Amino acid sequence: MSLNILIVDDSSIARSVITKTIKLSGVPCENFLYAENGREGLDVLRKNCVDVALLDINMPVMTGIEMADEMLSDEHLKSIPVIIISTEGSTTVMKKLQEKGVKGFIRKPFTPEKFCHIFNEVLGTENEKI
Amino acid sequence: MKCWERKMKKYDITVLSKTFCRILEQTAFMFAEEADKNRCSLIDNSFFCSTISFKGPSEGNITLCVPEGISSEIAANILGIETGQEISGQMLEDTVKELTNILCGQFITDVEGTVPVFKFSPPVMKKLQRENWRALLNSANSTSVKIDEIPLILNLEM
Repeated sequence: MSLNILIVDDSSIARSVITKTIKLSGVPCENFLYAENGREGLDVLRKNCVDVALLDINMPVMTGIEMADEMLSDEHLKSIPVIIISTEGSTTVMKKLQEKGVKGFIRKPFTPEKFCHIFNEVLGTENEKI
Repeated sequence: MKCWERKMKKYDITVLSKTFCRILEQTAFMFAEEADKNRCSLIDNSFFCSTISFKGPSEGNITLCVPEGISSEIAANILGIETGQEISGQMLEDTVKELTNILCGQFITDVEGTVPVFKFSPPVMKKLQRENWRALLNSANSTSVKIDEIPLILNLEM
């Protein structure tokens, strides 16, 4: 299975580096979709078939936490796994998000190995690698 | 020792420079070292200056000031592209903002641990010219690190 991956981050360089790192990780990806904030991210989710959403927390217009909240309360979107990619280092915040239904966390700066591990944990992609 | 004195001691600016050097190595595979700010020379005309505010058990601002010239090298390294390949001005600004973002998140956990909850503002970017660069460097709240011989300024206001 190749994945359609949505990356929501307000930083163009962060979006590029996340894409590059996922490609290096060996995670099977079909297509990357992008949004600059949570509001745009929800629009992309409603118009496309997405397998996993990677969200930054600190964004203008709508934060990643607000976007995750909307996704988790939406019948059509709540089954899409959410992984938070952020500089956030507070275990208190991570625990709260996990209780809400967020599936994984990757802290910046990251490595391809971290992506490989989290994707495998959340989506079971290990056996799908090329 | 008074409470604010303990807090200021914990928020040591040398921790900030060490955190920055570590992040630069991890993200851009570039090496920086702490520099004597009194021996830093002005080597550029324009600088990207990005600031993030943090608010939690303590509050303050962290600023990273990068000469425009070296910012393209940092961006190229982070993106894994050839140095000299054209990178847009927006991408250069985003590079400095993203580095400040990572610096702020890592620095707070370096000094406060992982339990406290902090809120971070989005990075605010401004361009600095030569005359303002020296004033920022001379601030008691600033320190400098060098990449090769090029000085970057880190500032921590509490």
